[in-house]
This record gives sequence, structure tokens and C-alpha cells, in this order.
Amino acid sequence: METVLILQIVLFAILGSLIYIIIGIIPGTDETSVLAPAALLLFAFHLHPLVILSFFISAMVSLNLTDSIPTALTSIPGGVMSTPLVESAKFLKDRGLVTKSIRKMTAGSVYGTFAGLAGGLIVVGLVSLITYLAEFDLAAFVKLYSSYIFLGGAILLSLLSKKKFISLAMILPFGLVIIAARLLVPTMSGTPYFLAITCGPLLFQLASMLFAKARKDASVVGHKEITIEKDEKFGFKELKETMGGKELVPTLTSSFLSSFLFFLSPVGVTMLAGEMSAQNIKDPEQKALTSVTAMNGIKNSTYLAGIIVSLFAFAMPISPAAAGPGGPLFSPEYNFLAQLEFGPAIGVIIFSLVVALLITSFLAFKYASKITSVVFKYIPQEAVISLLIGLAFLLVFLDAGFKGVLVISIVALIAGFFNKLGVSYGVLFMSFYAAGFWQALIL
Amino acid sequence: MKKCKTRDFVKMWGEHVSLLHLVISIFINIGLVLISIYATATLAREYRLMIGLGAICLALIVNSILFKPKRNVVSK
Repeated sequence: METVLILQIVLFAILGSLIYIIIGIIPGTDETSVLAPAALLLFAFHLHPLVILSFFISAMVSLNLTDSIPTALTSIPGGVMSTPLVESAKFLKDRGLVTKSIRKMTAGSVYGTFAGLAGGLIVVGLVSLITYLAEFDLAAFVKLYSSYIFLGGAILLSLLSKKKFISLAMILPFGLVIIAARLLVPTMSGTPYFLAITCGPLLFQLASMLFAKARKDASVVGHKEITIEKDEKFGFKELKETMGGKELVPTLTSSFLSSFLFFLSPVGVTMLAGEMSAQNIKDPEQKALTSVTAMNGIKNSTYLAGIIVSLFAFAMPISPAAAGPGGPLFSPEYNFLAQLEFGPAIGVIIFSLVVALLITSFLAFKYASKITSVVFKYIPQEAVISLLIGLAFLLVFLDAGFKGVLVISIVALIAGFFNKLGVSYGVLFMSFYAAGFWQALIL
Repeated sequence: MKKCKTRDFVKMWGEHVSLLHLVISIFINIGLVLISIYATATLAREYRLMIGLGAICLALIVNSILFKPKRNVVSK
């Protein structure tokens, strides 16, 4: 590899980690709506695929790790992904164990990331073994029938979600919306559609504020009261204490096993497997600690395994994590996968996740409370929301002009409406991919 | 007057947000993006994107200075 390329990979791994530490701490941010636009941005700059991969993996790992810090500190979920943690985190906070809970969560993320890497690679190995032994090209088969598989994926995710009926019922209408938008602006690439789905719920909530009733329902009085405990000392003794302990074995086992459930939604798997991993523990404090550690592990492992399996075993987004936040990596217009070689790509993934874990866990161990205080005190939510809208506007405008912005806003509002009814991002993305199926059927 | 003001907040993404401030900050953001897009109409796409991004960062700074977060943070 050239020196310049290596330097870029290192630089972007560090950059991705630093930026997404802050974004992870900002409360409420959804991981799909903050990861996908950044990936699209890097593609727009025509960076080397390995550089994009390095940024994406380190951003993802840092985001998933710091996402849980505000949950531990304030009992507010830092993002959708950290909602399963709230109950146990609140229990620990009430007992004055905030610092310990942040440190255990961080340790859980570190273990989970490696478990996910191992699990993901095993699945990739198994798929190539099947291909070799049975002389049957599984990946090519999957690719040939991709629109059927995406439709199947949308149906499967719908059946596994809470709002089964409405999720199933919107697969076809949402596909038709996508086809209509494509007919209206034929030159538009895939990027605006990703942005439409990721920013849809936000835009829908914003638009609903035009109605007095919705304003009244969402209205709150006064500022939000937040108490943050100060950081405690962290040295080698504390490091040993944090990385060891009774939580280690359940976290590693549950993370490793759940990485094979990559095709399910990471939040769902975290809920389910996280509770199971702490089920038999009697002491309530130990139970809560084990559950926050294991949940962070599971979250990270399912996420990473989903990306790795989608990239290297099937070359298409077969997991919700890959279809949503990782969506741009699989978009045919960038031809990203064809430019990736397995060896260097895995090397870059391991490198960037190690960089992200080192930077993020060091900061989380030592300065979690300070960073959170600064973010909470100086970054207003208004600025964050308008930033996402501005970014989506810029990317769509440069791709398809004002007409594109208009069409995409409508698609986003529809996606946001479906999301509000209980249709998950996973189902929306799979339905977007499945639009090809309906298109072939109609035209 | 004060009572009326505090009622202006709405909950978005789990946080307290002033709708007026939100609308102004969106205008600032989109406004700066539009200026950057039109000022760079003759340049290549990558440059327009880069300058547009700069505009968005500028908007983030401006908005953060103009509006304070609706949170009361207490350190213990």
C-alpha cells in the first residue's frame, strides 16, 4: 500500500472516532440518521474505499460505545440503541454506582466488538466453505435473487416487530412511493432515498408541529433538569477491576452467540439476549451490572457482525445494521464492494476498531462525566436537528436540484409517517430495496 | 410573561426544544447552505460539497452561540 493511503486510513480512523464520540453523547440521536449521511459524504468526495471503511467502522464503534454514557449518567437514552439499557442503568444510578456502570458498559463494548468480529468472520468462513464444498455459489445465488430476498427480509423483520400488521401492509405502498419518486426524478441516485428514510421521522415530527394538537401533546414546561456525577480516579488498578469481574464470561458468551443473529434488529437482540444473560443472578446490583455490560457487548457484536457478514459473505445488506447505517456501502452507484479486497479490508476493519476502542474507552474511563457536561451545556438540540436537516438538504440538492429536494421531502414525510405508526427502519430499508421487485412486476 | 415563555418548549428526540429557536436555526442553516451553493455554482461538485459543509459547520457554531440548550445541568 502507498504511504499516503495508509496515512489517510489512520487519519480517518482517528477522525471518525473523535467526531462520533461527541455525536454518541448527544442525547436522542439515532444511529442511522447520524452514520448514513457521513458515509454518503465520504463517497461524494471519492475517497479510497479502504479510507471510507476505516472511517465508517471507527465511527460506528465509537458511536455505539458512547451512546450508553448519557444513559448511565442521566437515565436518558443517548440513542435508540441504548433504550434497552435504561432500566438497569437507572437502578445503578439510584444506588450511586454511575462511574462503575459507565466503566462496565465500556468494558462490555470492548468485549462485544471483538466477539462480533470473531462471530462475523466465522459466518463469512462458513459461507465460503459451503460454496467450496457443495460447489454452489451461495453469494451469487443470493445476489441473483436479491429483490426476492429483500422482500423476504422486509416480511421477516415485519413479523418480528411489534407492529406486525402495519409493517407488512406498508411494504407494497412504500415500494410504490419509491417507484413514483424514481419516475419523477429519473436521474436521482440512491443517496437521497437513504437520507429520506433516515431523516424521515425527524422531518415528520417537525411537520406535525404545524398542528396545534401535536404541539400541545409534545409541549413541556421549563428546562430539562439533569444531574451529572463527577468522574472518579482511573488508574491501572481500576482498569484491572473494570476489565475483569463476574460480568466477563456472560458478556463474552452472549455477545459471541448473538453475533450469529446478525440478520435481526440489534435493538431487539440486545433486549432479548441481554435479559437472558443476567437471568440467573440473585444479587440485584450484580444483576444490573451484568446486564448493562452484556447488553453493550451484544449491541456492538450484532452490529459489527451484521456489517462484516453483509460485506464479505453476501455482498449485499443482509442485516438491518448494514441496510440502514451501512446502506451507502452497498449502493450500486459507488461500486464500493467490487473495489474491496478481503485481506486488506479485514486488516483495515481490525485496525480502525482497535483505534476507536482505544481512544473512546480511554476517554470514557477517565472523562465520561466531563465530556457529557460540556456537550449538554453548550450544544443545543436545535443546532443538532438543524444540522441534520441542512446536511440532507445539501446532499440532495447537489444530487438532484430543487425538484429532487421536493420529491425527497415527500418521500421522507411518508417514511416518517410509517415510522411513527411503528414501522422500524429495518423494514423501511428492506422495503426500499424490495422496490425493484415491484418495479420488475409492473413495468 | 415568563409562564407563557416556558410553555413554548416541545419534546423532540427526548430533549426540550424551543420551536421558535428551532425554526430560526433551520433558516440559518439552509440559508447558509443556499448561499454557499449559489456562490459556487461554477465550481466542481466536490468543491461545492466541501464549501457547503463548511457552511453547515458555521451554522452549527452560530446556532450554538445564539441559542442556549434547554437543560439545567448540575454537577454533583
